[in-house]
Amino acid sequence: MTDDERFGAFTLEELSDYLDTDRTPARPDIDGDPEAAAALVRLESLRTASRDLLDAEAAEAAGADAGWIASVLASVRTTAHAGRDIPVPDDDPASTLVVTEGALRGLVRALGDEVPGVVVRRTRFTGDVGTAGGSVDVEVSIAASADGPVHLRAEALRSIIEDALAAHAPFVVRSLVVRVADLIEGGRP
Amino acid sequence: MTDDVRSVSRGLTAVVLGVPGVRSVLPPGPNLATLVRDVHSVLDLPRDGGAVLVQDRREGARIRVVVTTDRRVPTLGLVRSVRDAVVAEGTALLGRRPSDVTVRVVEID
Repeated sequence: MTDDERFGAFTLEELSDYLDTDRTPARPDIDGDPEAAAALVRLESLRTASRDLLDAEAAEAAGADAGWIASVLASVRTTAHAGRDIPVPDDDPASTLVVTEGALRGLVRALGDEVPGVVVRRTRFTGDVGTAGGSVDVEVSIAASADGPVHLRAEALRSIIEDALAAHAPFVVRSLVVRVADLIEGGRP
Repeated sequence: MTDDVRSVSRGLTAVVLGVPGVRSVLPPGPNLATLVRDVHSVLDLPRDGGAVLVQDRREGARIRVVVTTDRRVPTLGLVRSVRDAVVAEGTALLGRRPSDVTVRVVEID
């Protein structure tokens, strides 16, 4: 079984992207596909994985091994958010070095948390993602609070994302756009 | 060939944890499609040995490493350092160079 397998008419990547957008805009073709809809529910459950997800079976199976449980949950969490593998340029043919798309999305989300009044909603990588050192376009959608200059917040975030991707991304950033998709007023988007 | 890949796995896990910037080493679990079908498949992850997957094959060892990393350390250099450490320690423990090494960074925190 591979991640290219289809659930109804859709791949896991398509379903994962749909969840990344908070199902907005709605996709009646996905929502109306019973097998895809069921996979979405399971994928959402994976993304919010907790000890409850593995229920008593996991706890019993592991006994007192809290370290093993932590590894299991981290494995589920990172797999559910992994996205595509992005290859790292390297000369050794016996090695495969990879940074997952999910790792970079999580990094961008964490950077957003450092800019006051900004919440990162979505990060998309398009272009030559599958080629080591390829050229990639990056689009980051954010919600920004309206109690200050929104463009300054967006620009501050753009600047730190640019620096971070230079250090951590295995691709060349061809373009980087930070798009304000929502305004947060009174603490609510 | 070695009779004890668990011991090799423990040794490699310790070496990877010693690479600056590595926060944790996770066991390579089932792929996403398998997890979506049945989350309990993750319970098949081994409970002893290290987190690094070692498969000792006639043509040479296949090693898979999954790490979470510290974002204060540039990832591209870090992932190559992990590979170099795994190849060096794997060669010492197995008696010859691993034929296939995969290092995957799944979280930069």
